[in-house]
Amino acid sequence: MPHSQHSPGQPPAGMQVSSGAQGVEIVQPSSIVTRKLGPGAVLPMRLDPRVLKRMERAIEKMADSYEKSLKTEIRQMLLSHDEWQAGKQEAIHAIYALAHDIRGLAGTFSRPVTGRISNALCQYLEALPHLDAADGAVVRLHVDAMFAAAMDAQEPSEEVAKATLAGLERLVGRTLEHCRPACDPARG
Amino acid sequence: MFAPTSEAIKLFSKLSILVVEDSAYMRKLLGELLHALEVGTIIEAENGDDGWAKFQDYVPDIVLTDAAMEPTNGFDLLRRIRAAEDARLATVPVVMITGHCEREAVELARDLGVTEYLAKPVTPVGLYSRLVEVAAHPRPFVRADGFFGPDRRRRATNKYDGPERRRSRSRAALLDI
Repeated sequence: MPHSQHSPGQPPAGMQVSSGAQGVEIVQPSSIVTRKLGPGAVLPMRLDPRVLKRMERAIEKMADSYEKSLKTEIRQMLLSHDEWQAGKQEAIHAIYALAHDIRGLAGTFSRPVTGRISNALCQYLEALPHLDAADGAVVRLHVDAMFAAAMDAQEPSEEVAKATLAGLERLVGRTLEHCRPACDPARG
Repeated sequence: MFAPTSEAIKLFSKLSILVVEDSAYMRKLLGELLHALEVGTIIEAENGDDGWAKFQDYVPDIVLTDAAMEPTNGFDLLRRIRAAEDARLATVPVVMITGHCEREAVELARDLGVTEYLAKPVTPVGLYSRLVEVAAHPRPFVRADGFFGPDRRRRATNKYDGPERRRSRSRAALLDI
């Protein structure tokens, strides 16, 4: 497909431009539906159950391989943690990268608790001025909790998940409080 | 009128969607979900730079992008898209798919002109509804005072119609607006 078919800065045919008050310009892009299917076409807002089933099957098809990948990633986090504690500074970056990956995917593959703990670890690391400032015990407890949640066929109950996350949150709060002002979470 | 599903599938088969995501697994997942929707053309990119190059090459109908990527993140990609001189490129809908649901990230994406925001974990219904929303109900774009992006007002309100409508609530309360 060519990059551009009309002059730069000019609205293409069918795109309405109007001027509002105080130099405000309004550009009305054409609807993709109208562009592709013609005027009058409408789309159902509700997902057809047959299409939904197909999408769910696509997720199920990937679930087994994701399960293996998740366990490998958490084991890698434990190894990286050991390396980090032994002085390999870049290992904490590997831990963050893995946690970031897991927080985005675990929930889709029926591992919501693992995803939430991973998210808590990411949020802790993101609140620090730099990753090297992370506390080894805090990181380890998060990774251990992820390990515990992900290694069994079924994740812990919502009650256990909430209690675990609350405990980790208190620990993170205390740790960040301890290293203020450099680690002030309010600074983002 | 409830349109038949074939309308949705017919549309999706004609769509080109650029997926910008640094996680190979997430890219695969999104690709599989879009395949299940029978999306005609799926273009994949690994980060913001790669995404920008492919965006210019293919001019997709919709962009799905992650936020946190190295070396160029989804916010920078969004900034480049909205700054494109060609209005056809600058108004392409961008759906940000991310685990960053903190208020600051959402506000940054909004201020850079994001069209929709989809929180991870991704679900079939969430993805489908965002695609239908951006395809069927394009919001007008506003160019004003350093901002170019979809109109941030999603609902009509008759409470206040003057300048600085987005001034903070506390300030608005002080002004008795």
